[in-house]
Amino acid sequence: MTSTTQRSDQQATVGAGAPRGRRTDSPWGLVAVLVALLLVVMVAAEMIGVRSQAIFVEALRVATGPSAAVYALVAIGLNMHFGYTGLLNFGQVGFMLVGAYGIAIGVAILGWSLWPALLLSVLFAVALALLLGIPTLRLRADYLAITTIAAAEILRFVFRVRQARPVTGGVRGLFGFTGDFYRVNPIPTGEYAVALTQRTLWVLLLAALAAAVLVLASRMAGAWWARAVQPQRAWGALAGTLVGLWLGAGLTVLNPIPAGRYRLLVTTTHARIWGLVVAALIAGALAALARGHGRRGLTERRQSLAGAAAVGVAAAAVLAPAFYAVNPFPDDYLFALLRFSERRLWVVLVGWSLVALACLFVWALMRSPWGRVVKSIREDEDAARSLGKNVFSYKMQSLVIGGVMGAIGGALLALTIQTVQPDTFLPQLTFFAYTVLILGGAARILGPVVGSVVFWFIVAGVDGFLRRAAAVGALPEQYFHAGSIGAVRFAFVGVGLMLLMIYRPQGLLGDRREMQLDVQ
Amino acid sequence: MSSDPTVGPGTAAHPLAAVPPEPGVAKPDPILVVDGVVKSFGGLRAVDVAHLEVPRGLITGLIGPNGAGKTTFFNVISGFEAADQGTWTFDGQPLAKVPAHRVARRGMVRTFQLTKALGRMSVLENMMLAAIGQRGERFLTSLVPGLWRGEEEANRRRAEELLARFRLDRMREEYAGTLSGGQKKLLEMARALMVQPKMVLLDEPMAGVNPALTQSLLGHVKALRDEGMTVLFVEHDMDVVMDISDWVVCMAQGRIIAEGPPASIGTNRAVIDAYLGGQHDDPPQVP
Repeated sequence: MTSTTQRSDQQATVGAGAPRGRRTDSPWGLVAVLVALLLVVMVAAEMIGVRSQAIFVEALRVATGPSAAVYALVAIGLNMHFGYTGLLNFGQVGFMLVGAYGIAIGVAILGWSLWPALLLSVLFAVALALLLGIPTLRLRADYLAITTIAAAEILRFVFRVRQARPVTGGVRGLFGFTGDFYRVNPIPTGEYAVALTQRTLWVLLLAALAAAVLVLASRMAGAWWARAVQPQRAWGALAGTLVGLWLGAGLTVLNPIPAGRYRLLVTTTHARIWGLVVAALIAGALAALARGHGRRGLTERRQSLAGAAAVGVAAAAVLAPAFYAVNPFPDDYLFALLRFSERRLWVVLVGWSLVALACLFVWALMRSPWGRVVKSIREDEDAARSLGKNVFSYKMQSLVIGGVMGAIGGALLALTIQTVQPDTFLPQLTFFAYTVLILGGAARILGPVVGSVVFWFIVAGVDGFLRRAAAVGALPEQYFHAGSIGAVRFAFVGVGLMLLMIYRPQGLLGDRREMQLDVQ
Repeated sequence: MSSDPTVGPGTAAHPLAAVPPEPGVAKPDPILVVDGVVKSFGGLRAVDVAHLEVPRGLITGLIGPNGAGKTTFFNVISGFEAADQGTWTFDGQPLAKVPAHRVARRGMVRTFQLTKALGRMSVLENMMLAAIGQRGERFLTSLVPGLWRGEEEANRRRAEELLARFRLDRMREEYAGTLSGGQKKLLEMARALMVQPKMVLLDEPMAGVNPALTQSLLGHVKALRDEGMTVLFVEHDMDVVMDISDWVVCMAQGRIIAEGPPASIGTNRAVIDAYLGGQHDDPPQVP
């Protein structure tokens, strides 16, 4: 424990110039390009008479929706294979297929309930991993690649044939297996929305400005203010301020104070008093942390972060009314970002919870000595072998773990679209998952998650733009009719992937130096 | 660089002083005994060793012209390549058909001619990886840090000691891929020691290393012997071989053609023929 803190201390002091100080390149350049692209598209849309806000909201809906969660899961599995172990699996879609058909066959054909059927998905994935791995994992990496891409296609065709119809439903597939899943939905019927109120919008706007200033300041090496304001202090203060502003506006949750107006120094409400009390408690706790009253010793870096956050919380909570008083947005402003039916909300919640669990699982594995062995196999399996590691066994474990995650992704997909058909599982799905992984950053825990959200935002945004632009006649008809746009948007994905590989092969969260080190 | 071959190993009080310099000779306390090991690639017999004993606790140099089968011999006895025939025992236990990772766990660790530093892992991670029998390397226990924190801490301490000994402690947080060629050689040797082996097989430990670092590597290899470890190493630099070996084995065309103390090997007729070409027999065949 102590030595890990020592290590982060050292990393903090050596700073950005040291070889291993920070392991992530700043993603802000790529983020800026993406945001600029977004603005250009939105402006272009407005110029040809298409409502850009609708495109934006729609893209956001897809990027936070079930398909993004499905691809995040599938890419997390692929990250285990490719990112950490160096296994070139080009047939991840095969794992999705068996995962989807696992629950479909379990419920629709065998008449089981959902949970044992989900277990069947997992068993299918384990069996497929063993089947693929036992003959190929002792051979060179390319054999696995060839075998997996072929196996996924073979599976699709086998599930498709007429003779398989009693089990797989043939070309038409299976449906009517999701009843249990939607029956256990605890969310009451109704409309749900994530919306920006006038207040949040104001806070977010200023927070974004402050963050931009901080990023700029921290990059200006040598400037007196970059030295005076340590980045961790600034970030702590910013986070603290956001919490303080939220609490300072008033808090009704668990409020023990009877509702009503109170006259203390100024006239105030029960909600605001309670908000201030909670803010004071949080600020106090942070201050205690900053003074080193924590359990085990905190690093100095975290202490100063906690200290700045404490000041931020306290000051913002007190000053909140003044801050909200100068809000320029109209009182009734409400910008609905996402609308959910209770069914969709259920799928989305389950999907992203699964993603969070998968990330946690991969994180726990990769920080352990198990993860170290797996990474050493990616680097050089002969070296791992010469140090007494059973390389075949670890590759097999990795293939099974990543495959099961792909299968869970497939099962989630089946639950979302409520039907399974063999031709859903085309080979390109594997390559979309690779795009997601590389976009987010391979061998990073959150790489697939960030990658999936951004990928689907771009795909849906391009799709929405092209459809609307074609509808108003702004695009040449022979290329952009309704039937071709679905394909054209993926041409953009291809171009995007190429640009990414050329200019930022490490993705959003990766480290370029690490990418360039693979030569002996 | 060069050393005087008349002092040091090979003189009177040496444990191998009474052993006659003949190929396949028996030695007092062999740790590795090889019998009839054959490895062919197509029609080529790359390795054809009738009998070889490697003495415990000493440094044995393995020399021979290019293509003599030294590295293949290493690959075979360390389990990286399957032998066509033959048996060999390590510390009394048979090793034939034992997979490479088990060979390492039994205490025979090898390094590679082309260094295999794990580039995108830190120097310290390279070292920590090499510890044997880690509980945290098993899938289920790896998820419960409480079960492996202790051993991890102990391994870290041992790794730091070894890094300090090999003067790599300042580099411990660097990616191993950023080390120089010589530092990678040092790292590979330190990493092999992390396994706590009884015997190390070093495949050209000095290749591509600058002279100053060669001296330090030589010192490290000698220190291994002084700690009781057995060393078998392949090397082309004769000065190095003469300097540190207690015993030298010469291979040519897959066979052991000569053995003996370093002083005797330089004048051995078979060795000279192997290196310079035996002109007295086998005239080149014209098809």
